[in-house]
Amino acid sequence: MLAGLTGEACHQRLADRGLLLKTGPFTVELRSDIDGFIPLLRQFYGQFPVVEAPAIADFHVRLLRPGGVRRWWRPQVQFLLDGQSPFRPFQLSHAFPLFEWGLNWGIAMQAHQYLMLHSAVVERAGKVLILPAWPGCGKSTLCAALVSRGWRLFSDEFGLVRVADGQMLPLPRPTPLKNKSIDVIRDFAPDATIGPAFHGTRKGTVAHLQTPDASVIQAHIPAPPGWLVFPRYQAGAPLHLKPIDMPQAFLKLANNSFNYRLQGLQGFQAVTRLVRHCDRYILSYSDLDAAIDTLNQLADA
Amino acid sequence: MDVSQQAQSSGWKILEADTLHWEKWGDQYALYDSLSGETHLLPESSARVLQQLSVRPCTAEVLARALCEGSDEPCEETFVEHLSQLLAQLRAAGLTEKVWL
Repeated sequence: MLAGLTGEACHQRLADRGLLLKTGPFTVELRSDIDGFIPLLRQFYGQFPVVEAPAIADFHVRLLRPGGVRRWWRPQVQFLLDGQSPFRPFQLSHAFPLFEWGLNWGIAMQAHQYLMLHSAVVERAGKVLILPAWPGCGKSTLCAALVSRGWRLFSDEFGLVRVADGQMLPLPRPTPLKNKSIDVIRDFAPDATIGPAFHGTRKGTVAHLQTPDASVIQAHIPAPPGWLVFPRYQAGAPLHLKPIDMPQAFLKLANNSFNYRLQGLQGFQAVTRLVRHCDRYILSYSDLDAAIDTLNQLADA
Repeated sequence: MDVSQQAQSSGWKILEADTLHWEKWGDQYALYDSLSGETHLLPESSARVLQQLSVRPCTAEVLARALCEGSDEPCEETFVEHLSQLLAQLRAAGLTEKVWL
């Protein structure tokens, strides 16, 4: 695991041949010369497995300081994936959120061996709860709250479906909390480890919630889907868990997927199988405790 | 138009039955067309029309009679008109096409 490497060894690999980190089914080769990024990487990925070279990496990521005036005037950081720079540089102090977003982008663009849902995914009692939602529905906040109450984190962003057998694959990573959600989770889970706040990002203020060790250690263990719950946070709304029929769930899920169309027939078959095998609901909520009680009851029924 | 064409009439055929993949949920169907990559959610009426056309191409009148088979009610003229509209919608969705029979 990364925590087993000394700071110097970690620094050396990042600067030289690359650090090979395992996250879920993926191996990421990471190189960086950003000093401020390394302590955060070690904090948030300390329990993640390190793969020894030679190994085949799925993603080749570099975080670099661009040359020229931006090396010292309002210094910046650049994200490169497989040698290409898909984004404009960020300010240097935002290297960690840039790494997280960049890797998410890379997965969404490239990992088409899986059906990818835009959803939080957590597990309890051997079955997976899928929370598909587009931004603004409270997906990450609800996911963080569930994980703080003992659910195993699969991902706050990707529902990875192995199309061959329909199993869900874990991809635990730090959960980015945004704006008001940061204090919501601080209050809800005072023992949770939340990293520094990054202000002025494209999504406002972002702070990362550390992944529980147990979720990282079990990141190689898939689980079958059990429940499909489409969350909808509405301030002041009473809790309401409404069952939905299979055609409605199918439409919502297919539209929510990053790569449903690209998957072709196997995407259709994977989504129909998910819809058939899961209990399906829309969850409207404003109170996290009430939402979690309801989802716990659903899982324990 | 030559004599042989005068004997023909305008009918309907399913575009490509082999590329359609069905999933049935109660009285609704999900249909994936691997030719176009499109997914359709269809009511039972559309599904039955497509399934009937996959047996053989036919006119709206013949299709109406086939669908009414086994029913106590006579096949009304308005049902044929309804089917014609439905067939046109299915053509717009890329699932059927007109054909000379």
